[in-house]
Amino acid sequence: MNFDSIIQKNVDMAFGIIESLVTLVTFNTKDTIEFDFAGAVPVVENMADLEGVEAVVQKSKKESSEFLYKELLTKSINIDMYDKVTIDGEQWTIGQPIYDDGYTQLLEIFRSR
Amino acid sequence: MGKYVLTESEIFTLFDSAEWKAEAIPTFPANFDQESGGKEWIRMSIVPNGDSLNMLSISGVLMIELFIATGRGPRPISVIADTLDSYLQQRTFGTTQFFKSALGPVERDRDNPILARAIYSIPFSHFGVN
Repeated sequence: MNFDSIIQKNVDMAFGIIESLVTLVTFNTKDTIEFDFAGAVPVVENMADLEGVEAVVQKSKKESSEFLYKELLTKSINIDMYDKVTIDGEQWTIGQPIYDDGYTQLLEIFRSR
Repeated sequence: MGKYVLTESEIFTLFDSAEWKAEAIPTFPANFDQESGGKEWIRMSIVPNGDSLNMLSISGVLMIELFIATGRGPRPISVIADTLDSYLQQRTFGTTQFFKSALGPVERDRDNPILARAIYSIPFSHFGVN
């Protein structure tokens, strides 16, 4: 067993230990990807949302009168195709990744107040 | 095809070109919902509100909003503006001619707090023949 799979197994175990803090969230894909300048029409691509992602939702130190911020800790996933995340029926916009070590990632998320 | 659609189509040919696509700067027109996270992208608006030589001509300004991640200083904006200049300044697309550009201040985007925004503008004239 290599180090990579040992770390991955421990990350899985850690999420199991903090099960009571874990929320299942849905990463929502960007519906519209491109604009076709030749035909002057949007090119819509609907891709499947990523459901049932284990996440720990944390408070953020960031504050603003216009936006609510939170931080989302998940196992590392490629978020390039996602721009929103749904938590308990509320949709949040995915902001900057705070860190990603290849095993876990911390994302900034926000929505209008 | 009227002067507004013709002007728009001629300007769109630039953003549909292989050369522009190779720049890999996501480009969207006005009235097109697109968020691109903290990555660089631009949104263009054609404002044909200027004087004209005849009924089939029009002049105006191509306004391009440049979006970059906040906290990176002004350089990425300047780089995108220079790239736009190399395609637009003193260039002609069909019967639409562009002149000299200008770049506004970099400020935080009001709709998305992780983005900074600046407006690049360049006047144009579209020449139609009666």
